[in-house]
Amino acid sequence: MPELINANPTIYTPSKKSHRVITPEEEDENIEDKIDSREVFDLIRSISDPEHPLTLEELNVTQLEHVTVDDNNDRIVIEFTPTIPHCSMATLIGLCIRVRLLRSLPERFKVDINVRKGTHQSEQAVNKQLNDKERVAAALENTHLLEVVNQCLTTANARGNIDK
Amino acid sequence: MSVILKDLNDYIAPSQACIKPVEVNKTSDNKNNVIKIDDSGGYYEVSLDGIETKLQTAQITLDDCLACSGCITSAESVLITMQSQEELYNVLKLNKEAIDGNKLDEKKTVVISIAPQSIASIAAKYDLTPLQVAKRLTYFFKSLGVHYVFDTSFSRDFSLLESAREFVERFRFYQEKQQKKDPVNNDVKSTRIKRNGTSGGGDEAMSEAKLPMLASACPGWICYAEKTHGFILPYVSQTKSPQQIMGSVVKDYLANKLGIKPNNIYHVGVMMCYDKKLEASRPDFFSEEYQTRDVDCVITTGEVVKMFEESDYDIKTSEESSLDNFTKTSQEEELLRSSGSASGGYLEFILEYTAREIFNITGVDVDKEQGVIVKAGRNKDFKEITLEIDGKPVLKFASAYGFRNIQNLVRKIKSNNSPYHYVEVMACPSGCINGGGQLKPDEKIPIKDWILHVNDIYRNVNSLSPEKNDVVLNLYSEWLDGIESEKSKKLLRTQYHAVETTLVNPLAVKW
Amino acid sequence: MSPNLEQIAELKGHTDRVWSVAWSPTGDVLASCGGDKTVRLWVPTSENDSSEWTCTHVLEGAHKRTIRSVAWSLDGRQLATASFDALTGIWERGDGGDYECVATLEGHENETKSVAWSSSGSLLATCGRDKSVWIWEAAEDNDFECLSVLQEHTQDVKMVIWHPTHELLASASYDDTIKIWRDDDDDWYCSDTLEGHESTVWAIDFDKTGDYLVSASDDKTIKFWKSFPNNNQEGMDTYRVHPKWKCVHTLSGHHSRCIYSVSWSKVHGRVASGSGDNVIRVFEQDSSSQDDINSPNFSLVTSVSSAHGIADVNCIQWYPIEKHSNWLATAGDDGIVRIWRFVE
Repeated sequence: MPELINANPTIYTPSKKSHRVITPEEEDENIEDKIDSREVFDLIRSISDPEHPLTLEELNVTQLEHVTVDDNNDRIVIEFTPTIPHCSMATLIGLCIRVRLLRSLPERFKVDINVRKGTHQSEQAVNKQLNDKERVAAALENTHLLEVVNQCLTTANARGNIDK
Repeated sequence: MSVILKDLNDYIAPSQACIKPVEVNKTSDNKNNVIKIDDSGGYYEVSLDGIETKLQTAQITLDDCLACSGCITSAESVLITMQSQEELYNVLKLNKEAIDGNKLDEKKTVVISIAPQSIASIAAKYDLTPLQVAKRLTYFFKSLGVHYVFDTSFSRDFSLLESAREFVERFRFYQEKQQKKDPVNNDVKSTRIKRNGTSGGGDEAMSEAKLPMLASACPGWICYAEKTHGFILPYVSQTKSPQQIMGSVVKDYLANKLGIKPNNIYHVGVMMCYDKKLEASRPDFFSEEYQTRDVDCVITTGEVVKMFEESDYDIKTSEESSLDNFTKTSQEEELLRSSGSASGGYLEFILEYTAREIFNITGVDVDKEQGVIVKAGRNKDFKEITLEIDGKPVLKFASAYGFRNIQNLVRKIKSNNSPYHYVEVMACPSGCINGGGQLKPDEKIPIKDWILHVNDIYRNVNSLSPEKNDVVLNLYSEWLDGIESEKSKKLLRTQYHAVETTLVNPLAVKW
Repeated sequence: MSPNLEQIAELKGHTDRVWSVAWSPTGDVLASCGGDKTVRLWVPTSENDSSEWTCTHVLEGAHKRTIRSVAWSLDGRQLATASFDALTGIWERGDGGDYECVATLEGHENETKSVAWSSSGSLLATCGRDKSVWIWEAAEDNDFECLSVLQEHTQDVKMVIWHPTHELLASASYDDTIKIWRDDDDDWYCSDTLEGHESTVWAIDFDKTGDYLVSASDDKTIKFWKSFPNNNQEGMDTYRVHPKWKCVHTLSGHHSRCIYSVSWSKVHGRVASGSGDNVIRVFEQDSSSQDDINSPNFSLVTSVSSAHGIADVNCIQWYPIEKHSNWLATAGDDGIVRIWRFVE
């Protein structure tokens, strides 16, 4: 096992309140669900950190208030907070978020994924790479990288309900 | 530092950021501590009670660089910090302290070996003759406390002789194989040479040896080949470079002669190229027994000029010292070089030697284009030299300098389409005279004119065939138990290692 | 009636996003390539009806990853492909009419992103994520010799394009710059660096004279650059004896997301752009600015929103010659190639 880049991350307990209350309209299959920030957050909150058996939510990498959805204009902006400011995992975490959304959101959405301002040493470089679709497309043809991404996404369907 | 880095002129450039995973040593196991980074890039560990501890910056050594497949060549910043004039100053300082404290057993004998390309570069810059530069550098280094100053033209003669012998060995195997296969067809293609009933270490190595033989004196090329084209290593000549043969001479022959242990000699190379530092760091050139390298430290031509500045030394007006030699000869006060290219003259010497040894043709002079056909290539850094007998080519040599020509050569060999028997490969365009560690011209002088000028200075030094160098010939018998002895193979040849492209850490994949 | 773009045809066949389209030099064939690792060749089913197109060839098998771009040789007999598998493929039409991959050029360390043939037909340029631009020369037996490896970009190089008549190359990069490369004796070197874009430059195209260059960027602008010759009347500083390029016009506010492609018609001079906001736009030089060669002014004449439905437009190309010079081909993330007609 290679040396961990962030060996001792701070762990946060997800608030029970952050779980979605299902409304009768949502249960009605005949009504098309509006995509809102909670829905998008649910998709990404339980992605595993590449280095730890912890979810992005538990590490405070993703937070509901940093997901912005403009359903009418098909735009989503996600901001995430790397666990440490020089973390070389930031691009990988961002890639996991992007792949998760590519696979689960309706195609009409244009998604921007950015590191939260002031939380990473090379913020601009990370953002530029994550939002370059050619780089992302090429990365996903790299089987080693894809394995790691898929590994991180195995827990993503839990949508916040991980039994510990 | 940034100034030096900007001046670097390494032609096989690293294309990726260093991916070597580094270890961050935290001070305690306290899980609540966090790491913070300040504006200047320093890392601090902050504990719960707010105490900040600065963390050590991760260090990457030359050994790490050599073993890693992360980037194509060396990380220059590492090269600069690990071996520099500072190291030499430090050794000289410790020597002085040992003398002052009367602890003579702690004193090291400091030896400097200077490449002729470095001498030519300094001569061009300061408008001096190479002999003046050699004598003044000798004066300069000795005034700092250095004991011996040598010229690597001397060890290059060993390298040339060994290379030529190695080529003839390979070529004979190749001929045998050709005759067995098809006595009529003389088409030259890359051929794997196999010989049955081999015995001894050298022959074992030869069973893998292939044609074309590729020059091994350029460490940038070797590093690139090991990291990206493992298949090509059996083609590479096993003869050591002049720098590393000098290492053997100094740490083995000279140490014996002086009656001191190899680790009591500190051996510094003055070279035209940063990658020579990497070469000196190869595990192959490290003695486990004495825990010492054959060449302890390499400083570039440019770094020597920095030493001038740091010591307020003016080479223009400097005094001169007489040159050091291993054996007194009549040519004591003369510089000599081998003929041929300013990258060492390998192609020329090997071709002339082989023409005589294999084909009984004398009087070939590649430099003067006598007895051979010289064909210019697609660019100035590629040349083809053919020796013909009755209109039929029997030896086809080439020189391929710079990354683009290396690319084409590698592609040709890979697809079995190389028509060559020997190729003088150098990573830098224009070869060693234009090495990354050489001095740059004043802004007004175009770089092309400058390279020509330095080249002219280099070539104006009288040439002497390695086969006529009595000092070298004497050392073969006195030191190496004769030509083609076990000892000569052990001390004058080396081997290469393909760097496995291991996926270092999937988490650190650059995309 | 104001000018507009009408769709002529929809070319379906790719099974993944289409990255790039290229008209053959005579306009007879359209090549497209993309994430499904194939190149498809398309021709109108009949001479008189351009609404139906047939995929005549599928070129596959040579690349293990996405084919990012495709380029025709001058004589239309060869195609070059740049792939994420680090290789550049050379395909040749045999006497039987079928295409065969006759060479693969190795050298780039990782993804190759763009490939282009020079106007003389003898040189090929490639670029990629390894930050380098390579220049190759065609040799005998479908072999190519590497003439130069240019490593002055500090990031991923997205696109290379040759001057329409000279051996002069332009490259666009993730480092936000465009570089101009020239040949001196046998050495290629960077003669100018065009700075001005604030993010990745995705695409570039010369006008028919080669004196102007248009660029499209992730900064959502389109810039026009002019080369000012040495000893020019305008008193611009020049580097050595080479022309110096200067931005003479910027179009902004037309696209709301990254602009991936731009094409400058060599026939009528209109500029078309395709973007991640799903929109394609056509710009025309104002007649009032025709006289002032140093400050051309382009204005929007027409556009199509949702040109590929909800998908990004990755590539846009004007038809190369007079015959159908009002045709445009576009490629989208929806895996479809579309042909449009510009109607005045």
